[in-house]
Amino acid sequence: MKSILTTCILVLFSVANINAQEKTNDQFTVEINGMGCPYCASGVEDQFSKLDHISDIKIDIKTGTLTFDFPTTENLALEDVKKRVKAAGYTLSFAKVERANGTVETLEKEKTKGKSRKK
Amino acid sequence: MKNSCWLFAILFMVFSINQNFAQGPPITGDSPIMIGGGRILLRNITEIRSTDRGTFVWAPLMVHYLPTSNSVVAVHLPLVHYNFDSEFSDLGNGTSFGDLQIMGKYQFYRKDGMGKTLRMVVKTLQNLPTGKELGIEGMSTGHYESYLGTVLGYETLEYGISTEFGYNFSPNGSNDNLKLELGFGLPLLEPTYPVNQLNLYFEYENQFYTENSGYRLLFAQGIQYAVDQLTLDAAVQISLVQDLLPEQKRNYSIFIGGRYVF
Repeated sequence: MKSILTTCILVLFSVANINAQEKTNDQFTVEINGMGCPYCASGVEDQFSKLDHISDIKIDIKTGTLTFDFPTTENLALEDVKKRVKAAGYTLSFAKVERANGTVETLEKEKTKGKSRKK
Repeated sequence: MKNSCWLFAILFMVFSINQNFAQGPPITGDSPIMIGGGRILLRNITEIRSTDRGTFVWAPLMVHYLPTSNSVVAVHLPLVHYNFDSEFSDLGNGTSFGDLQIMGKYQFYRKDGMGKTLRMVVKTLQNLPTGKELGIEGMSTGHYESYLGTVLGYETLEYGISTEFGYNFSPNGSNDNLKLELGFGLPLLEPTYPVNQLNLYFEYENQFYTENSGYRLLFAQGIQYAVDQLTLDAAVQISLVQDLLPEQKRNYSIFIGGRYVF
């Protein structure tokens, strides 16, 4: 009985620890216009790779979607994301960030929607 | 005429088969697509040109720098190997530095859509007389030449077209010409990122020589393999029409090279 309790407590701690790790990153989804070829996407990746601590950069060339994770402590703004897309030579169509605290922010067609809501 | 019909038939078939794929940068032509500010592209595209006057090799080191996302400055440092046929010239054979080229491009129009883009750039290419006076056009003339043109490109995930239109000035007028290029790139693999592409290219180049009212139509068939930041190119260029002075005529050219983006 004692060992079962100990196991349960350990499992609960592990799950809590995993959840805490997941919440250290903000998750960004960026839809980019103008990427008409795979070669074009390298410029986008290059611009975002310059950001320290960025992780899990993925580009879906067919949908023009860039996704990446970024530490929530850095508080990367969607305006900065837009600037990097522009520096790569492309146009931001839509961007969304799911903050680690559950807040969702969006930016659409170079105009901030200003909508923010809790998940 | 028969050759042209075949070419159009092949183009039509390849376009029909590859309706869902995209392509990479042209081989013998130019593209208005730029790859992001602050990047450097190193390129070599060695041309082996066969003419009745002899065989010439142009091996440039091309350094392209993009200070911003819509501009490029570049320098082309070429080595030229020449082997003149003794029947036509007493210049013999040898290797020397060719005409240094400085290029600049500025993108002045861009319209992006989902998986597609239309771009236009203005382009200048300055040919400096650092090479010997060998009279090899585009390689080693020993004369100053200045080119001004515009490149238009439309690329979507379904198809891509690039075209260039410009004028080349030379001080004595012998190499003044109006240039019109048209290129189609067709992928053989599905588009993925990271880049892993195998592309076919069909590129046409028209030149109208204003001094002697000459005309040339060149056709290049190329193949390109691109993986990550490395691209390898190969093409064969033939003359479809040559209404020119004998010293301006070409038999064929072979292009081999690669490019790497930093």
